[in-house]
Amino acid sequence: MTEAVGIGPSATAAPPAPPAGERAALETTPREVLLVRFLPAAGDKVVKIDLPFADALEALLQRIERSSPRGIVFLGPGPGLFLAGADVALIRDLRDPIEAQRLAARGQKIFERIARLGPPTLAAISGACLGGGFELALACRWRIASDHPRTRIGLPEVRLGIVPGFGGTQRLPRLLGLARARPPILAGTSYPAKAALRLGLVDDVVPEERLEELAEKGVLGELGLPRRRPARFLDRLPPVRRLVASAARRRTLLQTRGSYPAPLRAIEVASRGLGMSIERGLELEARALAETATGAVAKNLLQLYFLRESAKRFASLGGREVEPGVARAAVVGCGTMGGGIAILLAESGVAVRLEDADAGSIARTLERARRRFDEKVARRRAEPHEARAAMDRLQPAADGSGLERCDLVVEAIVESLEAKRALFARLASRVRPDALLATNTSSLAVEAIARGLPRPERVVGLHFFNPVEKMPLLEVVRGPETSAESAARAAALALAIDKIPLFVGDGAGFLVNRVLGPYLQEASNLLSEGVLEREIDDAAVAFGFPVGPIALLDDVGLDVAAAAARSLAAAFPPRFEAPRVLDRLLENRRLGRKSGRGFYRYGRGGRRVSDPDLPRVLGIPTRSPGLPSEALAERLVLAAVAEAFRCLEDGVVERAGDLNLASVMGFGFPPYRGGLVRWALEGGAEALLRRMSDLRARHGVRFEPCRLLLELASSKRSLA
Amino acid sequence: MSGAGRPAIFGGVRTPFARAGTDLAALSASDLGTLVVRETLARAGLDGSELDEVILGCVGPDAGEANPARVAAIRAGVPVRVPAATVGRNCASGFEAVTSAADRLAAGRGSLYLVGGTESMSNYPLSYPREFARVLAQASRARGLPAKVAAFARLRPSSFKPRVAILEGLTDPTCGMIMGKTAERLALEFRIPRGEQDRFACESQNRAERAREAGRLAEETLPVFAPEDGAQGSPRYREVRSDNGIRPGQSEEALARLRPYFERRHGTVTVGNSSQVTDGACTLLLGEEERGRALGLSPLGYLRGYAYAGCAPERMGLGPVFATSRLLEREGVSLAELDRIEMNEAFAAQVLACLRAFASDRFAREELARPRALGEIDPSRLNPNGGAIALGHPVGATGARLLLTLLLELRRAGGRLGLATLCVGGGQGGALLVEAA
Repeated sequence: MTEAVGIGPSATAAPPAPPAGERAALETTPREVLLVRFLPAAGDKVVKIDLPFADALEALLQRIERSSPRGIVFLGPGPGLFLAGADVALIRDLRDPIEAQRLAARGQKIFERIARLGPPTLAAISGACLGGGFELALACRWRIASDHPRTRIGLPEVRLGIVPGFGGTQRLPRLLGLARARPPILAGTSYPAKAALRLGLVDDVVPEERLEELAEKGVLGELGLPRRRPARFLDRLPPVRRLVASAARRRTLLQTRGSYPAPLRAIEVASRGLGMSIERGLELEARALAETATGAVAKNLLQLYFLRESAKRFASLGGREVEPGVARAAVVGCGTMGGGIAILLAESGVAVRLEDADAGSIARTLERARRRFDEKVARRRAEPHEARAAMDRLQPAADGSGLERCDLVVEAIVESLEAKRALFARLASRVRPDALLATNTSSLAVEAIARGLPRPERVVGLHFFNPVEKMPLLEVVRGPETSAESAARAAALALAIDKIPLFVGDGAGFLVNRVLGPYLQEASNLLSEGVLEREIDDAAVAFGFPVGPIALLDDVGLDVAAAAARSLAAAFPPRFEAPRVLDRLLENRRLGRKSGRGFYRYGRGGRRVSDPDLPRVLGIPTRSPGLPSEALAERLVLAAVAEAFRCLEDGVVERAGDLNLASVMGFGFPPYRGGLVRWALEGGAEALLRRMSDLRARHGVRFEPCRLLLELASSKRSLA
Repeated sequence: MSGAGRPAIFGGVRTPFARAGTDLAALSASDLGTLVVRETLARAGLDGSELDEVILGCVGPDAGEANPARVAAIRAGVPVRVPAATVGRNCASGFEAVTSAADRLAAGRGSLYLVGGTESMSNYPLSYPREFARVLAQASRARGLPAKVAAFARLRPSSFKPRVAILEGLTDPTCGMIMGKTAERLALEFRIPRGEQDRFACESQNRAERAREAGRLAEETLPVFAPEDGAQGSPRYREVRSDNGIRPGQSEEALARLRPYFERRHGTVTVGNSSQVTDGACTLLLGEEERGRALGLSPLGYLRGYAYAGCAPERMGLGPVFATSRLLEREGVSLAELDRIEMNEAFAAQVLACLRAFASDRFAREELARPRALGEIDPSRLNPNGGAIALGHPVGATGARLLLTLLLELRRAGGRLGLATLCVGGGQGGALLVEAA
């Protein structure tokens, strides 16, 4: 019956109508339930809400409204597919608020027509049901979700800087009450089926195999699905609403420091909408969408979304997606970095042999994994047997047993070229010829490690950031001999363990550390000039960084930071200098947070407090010249910007967009500002050049604009 | 089982053996099994898809793991299409795994097996009497509160008295004797004084200590990272490198001070001259030589033959004599030809009784239907690296451990023929004859 375009055997069949296009199909079951099946656009894997889809839905609704089936079920084209949400490109290209409001209103109108259909309606969800997809489901009387592993339900709009615009802010609070509707709207989380059921987002979870059958029963009232009840009286009382809304607002402000308007607007329209008719609430929502979607923050966040998507290109070869091909791996050196890498691999299903001369490191890695997996079980993110299987994949290996069967070896031992070369020589003689050999070096060249090795084309740098479990970026370092296939496999591996891959050149500091270096160095310079460490950190935090540069140095460890600074100073004099300030502290055995003392002191529970001893240790007068916070932040960030343009000029990365992505995902540049280069060029290249030249004149060569920037300013070149 | 088709053994590995309730107490039978299955495959450079079956002995599986061999195989990454069986013959369960695989091989049912045993005696359950379970079942079926109360009213204080599986497991249901008492009985029958038992136990401890110091035990042992037992929240992990039942510097004087455990007043068997209650696992690869070589494996030795034999349950300790007699006769080998013997030390008295029986013409005539004694066993060829008195006796795993220890020791000594034998609670003996590669 899937072919059926007419409405089946019903006596009240609708008259023949214009074909609905290929984006949705109608079908009638023998029990006179109408199935509305969404279809993806040609070439797409998932179904997105775009203009042709809206056209198709409108055309179908015309026919549906004239028919009278016993029930209507909305469903996707197959297992793991429903409606993935509105086409993000459509939102990205919105410039005119009036047009944006019109677009939202059109979507709302379609969904409102669904909500007003006479027969009972049900959304049968399998796979992604996000944003506009979930808003459509909310317009149905019931929602059931399949237990398909890819089922995800939610309103992720605020994460892209926009307000849900197809009725989500109005229908969800009417369904659940404001208090229960708040977390899904505010956090933008995408929930698996069971979690969605607990939260009330869906009415039942059913086996994937029986989704259609049970959807039909459900819509015919045979599953005992709950009657839709209006939001409780209490929730509608204006004082209660205001209380919930203002608490949510306070919490959101605390988290976002007011830089992200979307969550605030979403909770505002949700709260106010409850006190008015749905029509007026929807109008309010459409205006909020128009405002947020055309605002700068959304544009920046959407840009990052697309950059993130574009990072998938690294895992392809000649237009073909590459598989990591890693079922078994070994991690040699299970310290902070190696241990974290092993845990992520095990979590993603890879069996990992753990090698470390120090049994304590292996024990600590197992403890760290166990804590992480136990916590996932406690938060119902994993079943106990899954956690145990992940632990079983972490396999302490005595003297290299099991290396022969590994598809990947990750080296994370001490940063010594001789030690690494010796290890790689030993590995090369034992592992399979097609195994990928990766080094997690942060300061040595991949080329130097791979030189002279048999088959150096399979050696690649995998530069993880600390803490490995949290930092989303993974630099894939290609040495001169690294093959395109090895690099693509490494990128595919990054995606498999939920990291964003970025190809970077094999120079000192690769990309992130080379760009972060001047920023940290500038913080030291400011300190030497007499600015208080608190002021520097506060300025960076006010700019939007999660922590300030001085506190970050303490967290990283001053010995680690000094080593990185030295290797940069050796590679790029005179822009980078020897880390004098760090050395002073290290001489006083201040290693940062790990030793309880660095720039700051660390009290009980790791609380950071100012250290009155610091000026004496550094030999500087503690006199704040009283620079305004904005000026401090600008100096810090422009130091990074100067180096970022040099990286682009030197070909460390291909595109300016990669710098934006790397700055946000690699060192905490505020996402709402869209990334380092985007922020720097906000006022145009000329203005940037003027600011840089001014800093160059006052503070030295590290601010010297590079040729690329000069050419940009004189419009001889433009950024890709 | 001779000729080209004889099963080859390609090496294996065991966990350290740890006294129950100590280093490995937090690990279940399948946890321990997982560790050795995984490592045996890794050391052989296999991924498990090469196997025809995984067969493990286990006497006391966890209530949640009806087939620990299957659980361990899957957890160790063996592909799900490879089947797994848990087999039992009490103390010979590890042997049973080996000989089951050998039989399947001989029958042409497969060519490569992962065999061994696993036992967590720390995790032997406490259970409630049958009466308690029956009442609970009745109460859950009962309709209405009065009926439920009536069901519970049938409980008596004795209904709650826990049954300790480990004690029940060590008690023979047919003769009602706990294993230690069977050893006392042999000590009486063969007139084995306390001093001789302690001397044997002391030698076992001293040999094990020397073997550990010389690194001979490490050759067969996989260091294990074990979580601490009974942790609140996520546990800490500790590396366990070696067997913890070995008592360094053990002396006969110290052993002589221990009180008899099973016969308080006139007994001779103490915890010091008995095997220990222990956690551990051991696995080996067993298969056709050609198959193994094609996979890049070289044999450590070959299983030339095996035998099991029964005897009176109250004399279960003599099992090795009956089984060995049958095996040697079948294979046409004499006791003197054996370069190394691993005989499980369930009790010093029991091993010493076996040695006397081996050497006794009368025993041979009356019990073995042989005209003459099997012969004297040269003490230097018997358990040269100590035995279960020092290392412990994780029941299901011991058979595999004896086989692994024997093969490694034959290779070290340059010997040709070896015997692994043990007594089995319930009145049996098992014996394996191996030939070095």
